[in-house]
Order: sequence, then structure tokens, then C-alpha cells
Amino acid sequence: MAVIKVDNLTYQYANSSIPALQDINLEVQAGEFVLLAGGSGSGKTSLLRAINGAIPHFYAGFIKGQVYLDNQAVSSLDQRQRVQTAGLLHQDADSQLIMNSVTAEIAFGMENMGLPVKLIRRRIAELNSALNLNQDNHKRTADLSAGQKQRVALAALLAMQPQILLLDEPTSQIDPVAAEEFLTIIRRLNEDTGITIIMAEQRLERCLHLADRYLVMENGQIKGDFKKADDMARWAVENRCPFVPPVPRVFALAGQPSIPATVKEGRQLLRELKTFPTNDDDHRNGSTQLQKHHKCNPEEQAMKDLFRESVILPLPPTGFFAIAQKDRLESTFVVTNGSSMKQPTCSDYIVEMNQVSYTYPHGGKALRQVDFKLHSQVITALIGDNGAGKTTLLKHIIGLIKPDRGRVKVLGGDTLHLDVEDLASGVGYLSQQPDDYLFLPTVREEISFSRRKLGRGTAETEKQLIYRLGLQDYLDCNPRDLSTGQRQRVALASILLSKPKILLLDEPTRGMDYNLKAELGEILKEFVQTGVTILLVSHDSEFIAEYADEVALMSTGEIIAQGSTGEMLSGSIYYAPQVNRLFNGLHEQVLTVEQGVGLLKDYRVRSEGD
Amino acid sequence: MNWDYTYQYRDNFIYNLHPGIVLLLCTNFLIWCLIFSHPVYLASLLAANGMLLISAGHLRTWYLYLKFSLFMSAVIIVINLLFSSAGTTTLLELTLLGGYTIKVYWEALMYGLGMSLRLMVAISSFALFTLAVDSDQMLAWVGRFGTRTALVATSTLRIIPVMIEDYHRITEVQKCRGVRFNHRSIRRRIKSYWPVMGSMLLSSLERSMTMAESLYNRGYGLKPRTNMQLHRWQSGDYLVFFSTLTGILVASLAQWQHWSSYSYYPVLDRVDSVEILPASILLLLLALPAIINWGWEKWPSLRSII
Repeated sequence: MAVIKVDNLTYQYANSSIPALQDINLEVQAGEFVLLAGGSGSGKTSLLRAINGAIPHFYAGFIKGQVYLDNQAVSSLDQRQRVQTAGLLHQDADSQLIMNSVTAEIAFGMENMGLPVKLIRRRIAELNSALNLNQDNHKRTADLSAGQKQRVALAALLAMQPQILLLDEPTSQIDPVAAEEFLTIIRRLNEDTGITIIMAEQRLERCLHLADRYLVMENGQIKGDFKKADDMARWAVENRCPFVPPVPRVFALAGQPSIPATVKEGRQLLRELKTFPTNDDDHRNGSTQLQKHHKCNPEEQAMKDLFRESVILPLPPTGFFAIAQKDRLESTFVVTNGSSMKQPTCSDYIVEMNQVSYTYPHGGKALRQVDFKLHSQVITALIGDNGAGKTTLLKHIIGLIKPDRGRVKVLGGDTLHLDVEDLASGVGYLSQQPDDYLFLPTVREEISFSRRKLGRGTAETEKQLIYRLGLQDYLDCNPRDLSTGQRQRVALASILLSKPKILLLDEPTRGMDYNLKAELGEILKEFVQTGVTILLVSHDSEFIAEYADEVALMSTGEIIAQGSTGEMLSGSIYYAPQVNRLFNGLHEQVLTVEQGVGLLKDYRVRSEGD
Repeated sequence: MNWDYTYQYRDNFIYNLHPGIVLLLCTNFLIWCLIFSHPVYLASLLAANGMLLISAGHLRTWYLYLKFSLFMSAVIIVINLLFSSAGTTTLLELTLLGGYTIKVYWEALMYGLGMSLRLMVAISSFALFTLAVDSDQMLAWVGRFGTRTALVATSTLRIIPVMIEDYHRITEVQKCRGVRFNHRSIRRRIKSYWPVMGSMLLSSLERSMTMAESLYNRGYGLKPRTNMQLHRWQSGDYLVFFSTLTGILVASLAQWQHWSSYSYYPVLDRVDSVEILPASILLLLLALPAIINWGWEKWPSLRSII
């Protein structure tokens, strides 16, 4: 029986000129787990709002068609019936938490529904156990981590016992460990209670195996509806749709008939390929398959083009980049695995941290005798758990924090004797939230603020940056109205105006879809080619594998290891990207989709030859 | 993040008191410090309040609050020294340019100190309320008299730490962008805060929209609404309630008998021993939660009884 029926639904927000949803027809059966894939602005959130009834009850606009929950039109349900039928969890937990304490937060919805206090207490106790919140129930919501907040928000929804759970990118703002925990809970809920779940997601590698059904949205329409992950993956590749996780993408691009959804399935398929080339084969042949530049088939080329298309390249590397290239230091590059990897020399260190220790006034030790050197003109990724000290390390480099012990030398100067504002001309810092930079009514004013008010950069550099970052069409838009990726680029432009030699990025891919990540990665690579050194903090192994040259691992305030991306991620228990996990034990240092596709294609050539 | 100035649950007797009791204690301190003029009585109020704060685990925060009040106290003392001429005991005489003479009186100095004591009690009672009362519980209790107002106040209180975090983060980000906040000129300094305020305002507006949607999705506005009164009255609450009531009686008696009144001008009143005894009793009665908390820590089995 269809618990949700969307009948020819079209919806346009009051302040928009284009429909957010167009002719949506959908039926979801009771107990189904539906994964809703699609990029930013594809209409995922609007569809969830329509099912939940927030559209049209809360959001005004033009609406045509109808949504039925249990054969009752959502528009005819009163608020009580609505909240008991479909609960919606947003991506930003902070904005949806209302009360100060965890217990009060969980109780809030039930209190509104007028449930007896005894029942409220019982449900709170049960949810605390079910969602592992017993340790946190006395805490203030403001003191919780992002993952804990999301679990509390979920508990608050479940307390009202809705029949349908709608999740709007619930893991996009939380770290991978918390995301795994959260998704496990969701899966368990679906299996144990039979609750119907629709989860919108942009990054599917974590959740592709959880769902029973897959919907792909684009421009407010449902473009694909699949029962199997491999069908979706094949369709997505054929239709040049980038929402495919690395493992199925490798198989689809290599033209394999079977498309796995998970690493486990992928490895099983690889084992079935008896003549798969292993490391030993490569050594015997005296060649490295990975170093070969294989020729792309049309499908693969289409996929690559798709990623490149989104990176707007209106200007050749003249202008801003040409100016920057003049300052570029001489350096040696060695080609490894098809990517440029720099061999550093001592003089290349642009940042040097020697025996740096730091303790927060009200906390534990954040850094413990850290020795860290940042090589010039490479992308270095800093990885590690939450609380490992990664952001603290970045703040030492920008001079926001001065070390208790040890020295931090940035661009030859000791940060102990330099103000943050002085360092700002040489070191750019992009925080996790680009919104923190945006306060002016137009993109134009926002970018020129640094030049006009802070005296940084020139009008010519500004113009070139605007074109390079593809912002020329949005100059008169309010930056807050732009998409996540565009907002980030506006913030990036305002920082790059002073032509920093070092760029520090804190979780730059958080909340981004595959397209936006690819755009950002390409932009960063180009900056590096113009002499900029990039240090980024990230949990995103896939992004690091694709774009970083070096990786440093932090744990409990210490740098545990530092090396090339291949050395650091390959075979890593936790940080290895999906493609590496797929080929683990079969071939070393396979990190990127391109490398994986190359290997599989070589296998096909061999098989066909045999 | 420095959360010292906001509520954070700690497992001690004071944090386990009913929010109404802590409100009663804080109001008691505040009202009596405004009524009393006797420095001994003010000192006993300050001591009792301080004992509660220290016992609750907030010695450092209390010190920070007192440090803030010291600045204001200095202003009060200086103003009194310069402008009060009702005293009789001259400490020193200052001759200014133009032959104008200012006399500094001993009584004015003592009056300034007395008023500073009053200010410290008022600020300490505010500190106790902020640090030891859970606004959710408080407003769930008060909310029975006005749900909508209580909810607005709760969500406002919840958003304060979020906004403090926003402020710190955005200030850091703007510093990294090159914005200077340490200009000597106040005008330029205020101007440099415009990016911070602008970003905070816009983020708050965006957040308020999501929060409103969340309220709607959580059935806010449905009637009838229940209130989960998490905190039931326990024996410890009754004990503190009665000791505070007794304290109010003692304070009223002291005020009625003029033991707690003190005149600074034209000469300082004498302090009689008969005035000190009720002040000491008041101290013991109002500091009872701190004493019980000490007992809690010393004999954990007491937790089951009180």
C-alpha cells in the first residue's frame, strides 16, 4: 500500500521565478527506504517539504497537484495529524534545536502534542537508550558535537512517533564517524520498526547500500527511479549524471557488466575476474599500469567532461595567474601515478612548526610538541579525528593562536611577533562556513570590500578573480542567495584578492555535492600551479585522494605521520578512499577513480586478448 | 569556547534544587541587599551568596564577576569621594586650579565601600541565577502562566551561546581577512565591527527561518499542551525553602528593629553586637544549601536522604 502518493505536483516558491518542483509523480510503499539523490538546487528539499506538508502550510507559493499521506491529502490534514504522520529532519541541527537541554529538546514536540507526562518520560528514556543518548541527556544542546546534535534532533522527531521519516542531508554537516553512526541508527530504525524513510543525500558512498529504492532528481523533476543501486549507477553514467559513488563509478566507466554498490560487492566482483592484474604482474611486466595514460572511451570521456564543464574557464591562465606565476619559485616535479608530486627541498618549507605545544585556557592540550613542515606549492591535507588539533594547527599558522611553547615560522617570520592582520596579506584562511565572510548586499561589494576598505589587491586582480571563479553572472546578486559552492567561491575571491602565498582551508568540501567538489578541486590545482601553497583540513578521503599531494595525520594533538597521498592513504584502515579499499591487496596505491578505471580497462584488454 | 558565564549542569546539591527555590534565593539576596544599608548585613549576604557559588563549583566565575564589579565599585567610590560633602571627618583636602577646594571625607569613603558591597551582592545574585538555574526547567515552571512568552524566552536563551560562538568565529575570520579591531579611534573600531555584526545578523535571520519551520514541524501552537515538570519537589527543596523563609523572617525582624540600618553621615554609626547576631544567623540560613552540599560530598549517603 502506498503510504505516500505525490500526484502531478508542481510548486514554485513565492520569491522565485522558476518552479522548484515540476510534475512530480511518486508512490512510496510503507516501510520503504528511499534514497533521494541530486545536486544542490535539484528540488530534494522542496519535495521533502511537500511530503511533510511544510509546503504549502509554511511556505507560500504557487502549487498544483497534491500529496497524499495514507490516502489523505496533506493540505487537508491538521497540524497534529501532520506531525504524527511525517517528521522532517533538516541538515543543520543547530537551527532546529529549540530548547537548552537534551531532555527538554526531546520532550518539546510531545509536550506540544499534549501527551501525558508519564508517557513523555517513558519515551525519552527509551529514545535515550535507542539512540545512545544516555551519556548526553544532562548536557546542554549547545555543548554537543554536530553528530550528537543530529541524533538529539532525530530523537526529538521520533518521540512524536511519525509514520514517515524525512531526512534532508542529515550527515552533510557531520564528520564521517558520526555520519556512520547516524546512518546505522537510521538503517536499524527502518529494519526494526518498519518506518518509511526518505533520505535526501548528495554524497552516496556512505548510504548507497542502505536503501531499497533510488530516486534521482534534477531541475525539480524525478529523472530516475531505480530498485537497484547498480541500475542507478549505470543509468547515471549513461546520462552523464555525477551522483555516483566512486566504486560503482569505476565499474560503470570501465564498462563492466556488473556494477557493485559497496566496496564488499566490488571486491567480490574483482575476485571473480581471475586474470586481474596484480602488483606481481606489474613487476613482471616491468611496467606500472597506473602510470599509463589510458585512452578514454566515450562514456568515460563524457564523465570527465561533465566534471570539467562545471569548472568555468573564461580566461586562459593569463591575468591573475600569469601575474602570480611571475613570483613562482623554481621547483622540481616528478610524475608519479599520473599526478604531479613535488620533491621538496629544505628551502621549500613555507611553514615550519618546531616543538609547538598549546593548551586552551579551559581545555586539555590541543597541540603536543608538534613538528610540522609545509612544502611550498603543493596541496597538503591534514586528516585526523575531531579534536585531534587540526583547526588549532591552522590557527597557529594564520597567527590567531600563539604557541605556549615552540616556534611557528610562516613565510620566514615568527608568528609570535606578527599580528593576524599582518599575516593576512600572505596567508589566506577560509573557514568551514563561508557565510561568515558574507555581509554585504551584492557579490560585487563583497569582493571589492577587501580592496576598498582593507587596501588589498587591485581592481585588475579583482576583475580577473571574478572571471576565474565564474562569478561574473552573479555580481549583482545577494551572496546569501547563492548556492553553497558559489558562496564559497565569493568568500575565496575576497581572500585571494591579496594574492596570499599560503591558502588554509578548513573542511572546504563540507555539504558539497560531487560536482562542486570537482570544481573546487580543479580551482585549487590551478592555484597551486601559480605558486600558491594549500593546506586543507578535511575528512573527505575521496577528495584528498583526487587532489592532495601530501597528507599529514594528526591524533591527540600530535602529527603522527606525514607523507605523499599515496603512502598515507593507500591501505589505510580508516582514511583509505573507496577506490583504494576496492583494490586493497590487489594493487597498491590505487587512489583515484581514473586509476581504478585504468586498471579495470587494462584487465578487459587482457581478457579480450586471451 | 568559554562557557563559564552560562548554565552547565553539575552534579551537586545546588544544581539539584528546584529552579523556583534558586529563584527565591536569588530574589532574596537582591531584595535584601537593596533594603539593607548596614555593611555587616551586606557582607553576610555577600558571604552567603559567595558560599553558594563556590559550593556550586563557580569560584573562578564568581571572581570574574567580582572583578567586573570592582571597576564599577571604583567609579562609585571616586564619585562619592569627590561629590559627597555630608561627612565630618576630613581625610584630605585638594586644591584645584582656580583655587577651588575639594574635601575628601572618611564617611564618603565608607559610604562608597558600602554601596560597592551592595553592588557586589546584586551582581553575585545575578551570577547565581545565571549559572545555577536551567532555563528550560525554569521556563517550564514559569511557562504554566504563559507558554508563548516562556517559549520565546527559552529560544532566545538557547540562541545566546550560539550567537556567542558566531561572534567569536566571525571575528576570527574577519581578522584573517585583514580587518583590524584594535584601532585607537573608537569611531574606526566601531566601524571595523560592521562586518561582524552584518554577518551575525544575516546568519541569525537565516537561522530564525529554519527554527520557525522546526517549531511548526514539532507541533508548536497545538493545544492543550503539557509541561513535563522534570523537577519534583524533594526533601532538600523543602529544607532550603523553610530555611530561606526563616531567613526572610530574621531579615524582616532586623529591619523592623533597625538593626540592619546604618547611617554613614554625618558620622559613621557604631556597630553594636546585638546587630551582628541576626546577621550571623541570616548568613547561616541563606548559606544552608552550601552546607548541605558539603555534607553531600562528605557523606554520599546523604544524597539519598536530602
